[in-house]
Amino acid sequence: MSQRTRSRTTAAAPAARKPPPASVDPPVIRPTEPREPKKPHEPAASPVSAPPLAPEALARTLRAVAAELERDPALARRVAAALAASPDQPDTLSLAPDAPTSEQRGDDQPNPKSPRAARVFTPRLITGASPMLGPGVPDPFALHARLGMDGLRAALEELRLGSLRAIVREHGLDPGGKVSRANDAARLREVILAAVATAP
Amino acid sequence: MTAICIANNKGGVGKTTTAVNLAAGLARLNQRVLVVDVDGQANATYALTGRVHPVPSLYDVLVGERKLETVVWQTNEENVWLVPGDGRLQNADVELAARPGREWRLAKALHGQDFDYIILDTPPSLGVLTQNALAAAHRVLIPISLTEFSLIGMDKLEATIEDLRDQLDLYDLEIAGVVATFFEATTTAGETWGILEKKYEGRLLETRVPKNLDLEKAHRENESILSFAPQSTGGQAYMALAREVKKLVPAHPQPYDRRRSRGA
Repeated sequence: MSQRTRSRTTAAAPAARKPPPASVDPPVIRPTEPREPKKPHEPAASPVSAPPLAPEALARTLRAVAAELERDPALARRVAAALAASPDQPDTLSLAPDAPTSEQRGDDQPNPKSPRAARVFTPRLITGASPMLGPGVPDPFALHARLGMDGLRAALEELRLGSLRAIVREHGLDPGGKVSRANDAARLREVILAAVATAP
Repeated sequence: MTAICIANNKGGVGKTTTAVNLAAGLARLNQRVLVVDVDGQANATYALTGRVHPVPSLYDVLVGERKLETVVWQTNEENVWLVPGDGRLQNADVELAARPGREWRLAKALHGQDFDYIILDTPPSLGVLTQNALAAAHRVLIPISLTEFSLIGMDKLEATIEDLRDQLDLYDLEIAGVVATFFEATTTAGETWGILEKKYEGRLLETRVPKNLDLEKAHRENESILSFAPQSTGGQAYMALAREVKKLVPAHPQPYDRRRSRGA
């Protein structure tokens, strides 16, 4: 190990750095610099508690921001859009505790207008069909008798195409097979519910 | 009754996809098929029923004293039945380790079952569960993805089959064939195919299962590719595989009796 390395690894912790001297040049903003991750549900710091900026520091910061906006048109557009938004408009990206959850915002539904929509993959925890359905292909008539129409509807909502098709097949609910051939879970549910509703 | 074990100690080669879709293909050829989910991940169970880790399951048969016929389920596929697996099977290797005749528990449990085919879906390991499936099987079908890595470990699987054949007197246990999965028209796939052709001369099945997103979607919808998208490339391949397997390994007309079939 070299002397330099040893001194670096074994020496006592360096003394606290002196604050850098004030510079007349605007500070350079580096967007790629690692940022400290935001903690979820941590309330945003109140602006009242932030120390007020000195006029010189404020001017320096604004000059730096202006320089960056001129350099980066995309950033300029985003800032312009943010400034144009109504001040009453709620900030949907807020991480404050009372902010809506991703479910409330419907984040698991990709926005079809977004160019990234096709690439969005939202993993879902697969819990499978409810054990109350019992083994094998569920019997919608028995479920209706046990759970009522709303309970049956909720149970069918949990089932995927394969199980719905199996119910229709096992109970002969689609004699022509037209509905069963289409990969349309909603239509299969309708057929099952209609058959149960009209059953004697 | 003929039992086919789908085995490969490598994961992600399409064992469960092959088990589920081969069963559905054989069912469409008017065969009555029982799928046994020997894998603790229980993916075949989910793909055929939409259930995740149901109880009771095969675990209660292998480790407990439950009769197999009490855990035979009707599946979402016509003419396909299932003995479901669940997560507890992942501990079964340890729990069965000290039991005498541990490799024969599945074969004994299946005794007398009357289907045309039994398809055994195995975990990606060569532990006691896979040994049970091999001991219960008449033939082994090895899915292999056409990638460089898939060639590694094939010798180990063959050695295990050889060892079991000697230890358990399974002189008629044979590799029915090797089926290529995740096929793509790439140089790597072509070269791997060439190597397999030389290594498994006469045992490499003609059917090549292509990489096809519909196969994944079918699992998500809890049904076979032959119900979800029969005209897809994956659907056509698995139907062709079912025809090829039926021709290669005909169903035995007698109910399941592993002892009888091995001549004991």
